Amino acid sequence: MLLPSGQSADAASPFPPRPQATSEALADLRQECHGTLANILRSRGASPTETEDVLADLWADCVPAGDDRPSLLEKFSGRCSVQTWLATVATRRWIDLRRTQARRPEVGRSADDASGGEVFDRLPAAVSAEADNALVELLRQSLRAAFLACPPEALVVLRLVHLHGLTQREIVRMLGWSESKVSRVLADAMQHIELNTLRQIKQRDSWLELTWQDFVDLCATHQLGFL
Amino acid sequence: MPNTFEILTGFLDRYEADVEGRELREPPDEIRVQLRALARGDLARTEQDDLMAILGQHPDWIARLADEVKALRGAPEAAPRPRV
Repeated sequence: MLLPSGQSADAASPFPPRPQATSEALADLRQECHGTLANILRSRGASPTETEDVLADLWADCVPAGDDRPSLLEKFSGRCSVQTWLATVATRRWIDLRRTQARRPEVGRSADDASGGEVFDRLPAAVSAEADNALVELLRQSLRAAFLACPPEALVVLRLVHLHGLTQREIVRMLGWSESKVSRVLADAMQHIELNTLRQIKQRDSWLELTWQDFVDLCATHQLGFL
Repeated sequence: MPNTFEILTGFLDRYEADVEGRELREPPDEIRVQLRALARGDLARTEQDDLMAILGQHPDWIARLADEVKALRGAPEAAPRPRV
């Protein structure tokens, strides 16, 4: 795939990108990804208006505007698919938007409303650094709470098997459990983490509709350190 | 392709370290002895519970336990303990 800079994802060109090639590549990318990104945002709880606003800003930020504002796509590291990366950026921006709206005091139904000002006209022009981390903090705090609620023994066994490559048979020998107990503890612990994490998210942001796969995908994308 | 648990712990490790700083410390000798005994399947149930709670607070020590278990690979198996 061509990036809007006119370069392929894995080969840097020594020549400066041609503006024509840049806009064509960006149009292709938008055509390829826009529908899927919209569906992802909608499935995560965004309204149609929020979806269109977030994606309009996203695509606008993909257009380079000189040295002062390089294309958003320059931050893409290529360590996951560009669509997955854009979905995470869009989700993060949408959560920031929702939280900013939630924090805003009811601005008075006076001057602004009387003048017919749009809601989005009253949003802050730039998202703060604190808001930038809103998605990471939401994922981190929810997951951490779920890990803390998991029995220590189960977490140790999960780490031994899934991170350090011990076999279930080695766990049996070590702890004196039956094989069925090892399997059950592993499965129950993962389910425990899943249910508790999603519950934590609902408690923190009830409007956010994340599936477990969404959550894992977002963690995977962030883990790659793309932001 | 990392498994789900690997993704979750990788995410937490990355961002918890950003927030709290990372402190890596070697386990004290008494814990090393207990880890070795646990790896061999020789740790009593009550001691197992205590050690698991400690490992929950020091997840980096779990790698030590894994190393002890792996070091036993290929060694003749001890007589099986009664299973729980």
